[in-house]
Amino acid sequence: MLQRLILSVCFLVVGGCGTLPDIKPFADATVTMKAAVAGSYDAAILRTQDAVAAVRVIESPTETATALANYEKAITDFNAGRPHRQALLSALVKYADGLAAIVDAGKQAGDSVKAVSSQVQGLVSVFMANPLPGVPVKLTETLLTKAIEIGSLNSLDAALASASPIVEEVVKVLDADLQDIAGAIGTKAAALEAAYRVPYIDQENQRRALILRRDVLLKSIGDPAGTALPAETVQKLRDVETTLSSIDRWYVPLQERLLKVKETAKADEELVTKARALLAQWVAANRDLSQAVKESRKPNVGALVATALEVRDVLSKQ
Amino acid sequence: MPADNDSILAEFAAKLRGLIEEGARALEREDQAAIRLVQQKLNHFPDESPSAADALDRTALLAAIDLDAANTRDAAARIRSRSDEVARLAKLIDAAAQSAAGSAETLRLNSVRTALTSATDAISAFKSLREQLKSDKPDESTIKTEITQIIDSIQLLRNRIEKV
Repeated sequence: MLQRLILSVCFLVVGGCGTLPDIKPFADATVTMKAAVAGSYDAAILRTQDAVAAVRVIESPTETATALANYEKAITDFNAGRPHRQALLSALVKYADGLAAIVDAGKQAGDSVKAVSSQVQGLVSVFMANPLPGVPVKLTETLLTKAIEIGSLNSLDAALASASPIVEEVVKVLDADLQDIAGAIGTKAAALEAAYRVPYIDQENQRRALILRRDVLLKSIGDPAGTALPAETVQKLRDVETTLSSIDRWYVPLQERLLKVKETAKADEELVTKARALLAQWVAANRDLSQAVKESRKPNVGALVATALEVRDVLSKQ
Repeated sequence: MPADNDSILAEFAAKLRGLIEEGARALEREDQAAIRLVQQKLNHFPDESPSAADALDRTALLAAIDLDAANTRDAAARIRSRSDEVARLAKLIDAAAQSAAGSAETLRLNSVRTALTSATDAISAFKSLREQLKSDKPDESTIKTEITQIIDSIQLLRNRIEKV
């Protein structure tokens, strides 16, 4: 009976089989992708909320009513779409975990066969030393392990084949979302800059006029070289400098705020760009995984892992 | 000179109108790069306009906000319009994930079954060998005893696996 079992497993081995691929990097990258897409979504909502707060400061309902209504509508739509994306991303994580579970189950099955075989092997060691025909326990172990690997690979192949067309669609939809999010984020920095500057528009013009006046005065005292400066011009310059210094009390914080807006926008854009890159790498890795299982080779997940690391780095700075 | 100031203001008013129209066209085309470019020009407008153009400057900055607000509204609406498709795909992927998890579970059960079969087959093989040995010959009797011990041990192992 044992011989028959060995023979039947031999058939499977002759058919060829590959080593079970390591799915963990793919599963880990899927978790990162979920975080990256969710983070991009968050950025779009947060920046829109920032815009609402900044526009409200303008305190001119007639001038800002349309913009505020558009922003509020956008926030409602973002929030309405959010749970569907969360469900989709959670399903993708479950899908990747499911693939990893198939591989784990295959490996565990191989381990349990090895455990049984090694115990049996230990038990028969005395018997093997005798001149009676020995039972090829080690061969049985190898063949059974291979057979289980083939079973796992077949399950993995079936899982990938059934999910691949859906995965391609999912990635298209998520990328379209990220493109729209990138668009919404991309125009936010200029809007925030404008909203923060509107309450200071008169003062900005006053400041520009003062700077022009200072330049004119400086030019006038620069002309008569070696001569004493006219006291009146010096006083005018002092007055201009005093006024400019007082303006700095609002101008400097405003500039700091605008710098912060630019930095935040840069970080948001980097996150969305990396999220899109990760999405592209992820779908490529899913395709390659499917092909790798068919070709009995290791899947190429190097680019996916590298991009996932970059995304984690960006997320940690958010 | 008021006349000159008026003409300069009129020139900047026309420039601003042109920018606002350019922004509306970019918005209609959903051309993000063009929208951003117009916003930059609008934000730069107060830096170039005469100091008396406060109202125009204000309009320029408000137009930069309006462009973003309309662009964000359209982007969010497009995202929302894809929600049904996203929900449908989420269900399909969820089903694929459940199927993969089911396959993994089946494999796990199979591993136990395989181990049991392996142990059972080993027991049968050893029993078959034991039956071929004679108890009245000392050498064979010793081996027979050893095989019985092996069978007992494998049975013990199988019982343990069954409990798992």
